[in-house]
Amino acid sequence: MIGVEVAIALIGAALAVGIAGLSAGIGAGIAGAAGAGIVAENPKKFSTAIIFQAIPQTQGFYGFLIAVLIMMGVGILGGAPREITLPMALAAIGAGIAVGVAGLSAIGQGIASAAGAGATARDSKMFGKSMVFSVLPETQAIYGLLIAILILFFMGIISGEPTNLGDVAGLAAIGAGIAVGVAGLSAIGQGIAAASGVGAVSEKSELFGKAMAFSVLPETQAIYGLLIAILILFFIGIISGKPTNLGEVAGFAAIAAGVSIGFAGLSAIGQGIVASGGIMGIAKNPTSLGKGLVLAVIPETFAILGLLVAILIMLGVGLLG
Amino acid sequence: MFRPAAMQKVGVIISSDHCDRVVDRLHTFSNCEIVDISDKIKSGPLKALLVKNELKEEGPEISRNLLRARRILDLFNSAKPKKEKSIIAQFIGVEDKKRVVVTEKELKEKVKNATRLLDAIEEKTKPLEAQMEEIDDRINDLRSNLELLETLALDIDLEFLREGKYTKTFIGFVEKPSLLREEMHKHIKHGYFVHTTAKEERTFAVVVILKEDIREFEKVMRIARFSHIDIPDMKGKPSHLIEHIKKEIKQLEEKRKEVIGKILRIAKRYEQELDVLYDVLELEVERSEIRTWFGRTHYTTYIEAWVPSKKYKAFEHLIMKETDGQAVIRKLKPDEGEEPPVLLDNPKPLKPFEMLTNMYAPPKYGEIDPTPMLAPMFLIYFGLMLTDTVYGIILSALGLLLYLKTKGTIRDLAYILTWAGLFTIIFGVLTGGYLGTVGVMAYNALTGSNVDTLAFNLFGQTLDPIKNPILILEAALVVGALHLTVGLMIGAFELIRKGNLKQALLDKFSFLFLMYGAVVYAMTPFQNLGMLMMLLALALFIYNEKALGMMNVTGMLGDVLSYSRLLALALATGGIALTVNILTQIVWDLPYIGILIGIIVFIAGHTFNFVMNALGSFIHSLRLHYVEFFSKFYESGGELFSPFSIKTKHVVIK
Repeated sequence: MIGVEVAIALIGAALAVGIAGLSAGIGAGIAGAAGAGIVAENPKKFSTAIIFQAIPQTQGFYGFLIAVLIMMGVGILGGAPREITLPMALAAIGAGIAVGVAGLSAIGQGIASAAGAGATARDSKMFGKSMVFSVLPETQAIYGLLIAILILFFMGIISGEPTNLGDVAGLAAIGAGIAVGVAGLSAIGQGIAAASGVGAVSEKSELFGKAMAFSVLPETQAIYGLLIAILILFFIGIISGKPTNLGEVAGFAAIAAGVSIGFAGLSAIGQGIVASGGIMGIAKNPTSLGKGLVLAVIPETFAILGLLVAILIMLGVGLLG
Repeated sequence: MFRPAAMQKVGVIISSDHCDRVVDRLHTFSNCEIVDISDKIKSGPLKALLVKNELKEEGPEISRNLLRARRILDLFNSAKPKKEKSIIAQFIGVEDKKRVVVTEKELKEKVKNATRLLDAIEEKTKPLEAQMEEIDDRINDLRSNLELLETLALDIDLEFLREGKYTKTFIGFVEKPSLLREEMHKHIKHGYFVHTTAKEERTFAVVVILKEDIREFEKVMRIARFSHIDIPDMKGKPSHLIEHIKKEIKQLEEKRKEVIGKILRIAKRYEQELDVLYDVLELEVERSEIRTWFGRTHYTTYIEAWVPSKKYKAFEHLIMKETDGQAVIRKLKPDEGEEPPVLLDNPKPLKPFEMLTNMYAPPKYGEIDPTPMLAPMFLIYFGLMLTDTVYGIILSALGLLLYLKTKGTIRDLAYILTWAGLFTIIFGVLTGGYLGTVGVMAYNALTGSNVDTLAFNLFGQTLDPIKNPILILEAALVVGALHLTVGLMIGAFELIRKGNLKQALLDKFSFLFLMYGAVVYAMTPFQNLGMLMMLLALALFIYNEKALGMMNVTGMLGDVLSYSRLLALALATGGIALTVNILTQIVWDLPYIGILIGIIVFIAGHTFNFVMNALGSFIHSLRLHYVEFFSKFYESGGELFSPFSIKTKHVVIK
């Protein structure tokens, strides 16, 4: 008899492959549209189009991977159904959110890859630098995948021994997933900036370093999200194995902290737009670098406020030891 | 090595008779950058004294021969079968031909004999080229006729369709055949003939009318949408003609192959000689064209150049030797607003890393060259982020292979990758990662023990990132803080060296106070001191930039936190490896195909992990330097030193 906990865990699997798939599709769509334009002008550039279209697709595979792991972990795939506790089921949802929502970074990657494909088609020497810019927004997806794997591993879904942590662990995992997942949308900002970077560098290759500096500005929000996720997992006891003695309040506090840093992390989209402008600025006038950077960093203030609130929440309920 | 090489500007006056020798020797010297003074001569301080120098006398002929050689080489290339280089090969640009050694004397000989050699080759190739052109033109003509004939849906002798004494025939496609007949009936008074057949989805029509009705018929054509085709100037039925044309095309293509074969035979005999000649001619053209950057009087030539101070003596010696001592050399000061070119000057083991510095931007002349600091930290960060012994071994092996087989920038990259692989091995061993958990499982299986990690222990704590991520995080943040400290100290030092103590205090020491104030506050009992330092920093920020100064606090926090990616990427590699291993284990147990799929999953998964994380580690290591480290002190914007030197593909000059 398959328990309802298994069904809840499968929602996590669905979230993982569904949201990640959506993003990979949109990202590949954006990159593919650029590719179609390229091959219409020069059919020999098909390989360029294919390579750059492949880049945003990795997120879809990460989501699929986690979905498969969850399904195997609960015994739906390849083996007998297992005894799954509610905390484990909730943790699976957390893992699904982590890799799925962070997978929305594929949209940012699609934007950057489209620019990269165009630049490489015009000048094949731009291949290396275009690759670098297109890969920048992948970081957020890696962070999401990482948190998802850590959750699944330490909650006993992948490694076989079910954990003895209470419901608080499941809620905390969801909090961690939201933190790294929603903050992963910062990749869209990064993608916008990276696309401008590709454009600027294909005209003036000496701008590479500075364009990269602008393009990575929106990544800070993702790091904050990752940090909060790791802190949550550690202090709730998911990673260390020593469960906290706080009640369910800790779990809900974790979710609150995750929402706080996650959504504040969306400020990165604004940062990406400013950074994109900053890059175009230095392409026209290299001395605008300093002031452009200042303008680009201002949206980050709100991410910092989110980070602050997240940490204060955790401190307040006694979560940070 | 901490600064770009010192540069010396020189001015040289020589007798114009020695110009040839001097230019040739400077070319092989490859260590001075000639300054183009033609602008200064046109409208500057030198206008009254000098006239612009011209090209060598033989210059135009050499350029002509260069073009001829290029044409012939292109002909040879077009005759060869096509081999599309994959995009990876284009990116790497692998060298495939060996170089020929040529002495200066031989060089002069070849240039002199160039015309004769080219004449001999062209005697053979020009007729073949003409033949090819003729054949290609004919084939194109035939092909377009063929296309035309194949659209005709009518198999009568084309001669019957020709314009007659009284009649004219139109053939073509009509969109509305019924309308055609209607309109014909309406408008054409005299007799006419209409025939339509369906061909694919269109209607093919033949219309014969009296010449008097042509005007009226044109109206009909418009109404019925009759688009007419010109009748080809041929005799006979289309089906026969098509046969005939196809045969002729085939014959011509045979002939073409023959001609290409002849061209390839000539290429085989002459190509290498011609490649060498091409390079040699290119050098001569460069040597001829550089003269336009010199100045001239009746009997003397004036040259301005930049020479690295270390090479000044050699330069002087060279000029004196080639001019038999009849030269005047002076050290010059740079002009108003002129910046010396930048040549990075690192010892041989560090030189390949200059590519990473230059990728961002070369330093300004006289400023710090960050390469010696970038090299070790880049490798440490890379190793820390890729963290797997087996991946490290593979990377070093690949790096070494590339290093032995390539030249130039790819070789430098291979050097960096080989070292990066070594550092990865070190950190892999320390953290116990051997293809993730494969190492542990193998160790347990082979020795019968039951450890859960192969990581080393430090102060009683395991270094395995998955078991103890907080330790690695703390280490990452400490490393980050130290890295930033070094950057800030360098920035401060440079400002003080230039006499700007105030800015050093406001821009650099303030951040140090903030950072170490926080450390003192959080980690020592002297909390008051810590608080004081932080407030001092805040005060300095606000004094410097008013309200915006507060952003520096969050900026600093962000900078330090950015180093937490060291943990994230280290965990990512280990985590994905773990997942691949678990997946493989699960799949392995499937009946029949389990082992095969398991192997595929294992290899594909680890390859993917290796590529993604190696790329990520490279980019993020670099990014930590470009963004967090450089922004604390680096002054970039210099122009790279570009010496007058020999750059050839097929030749090595002795």
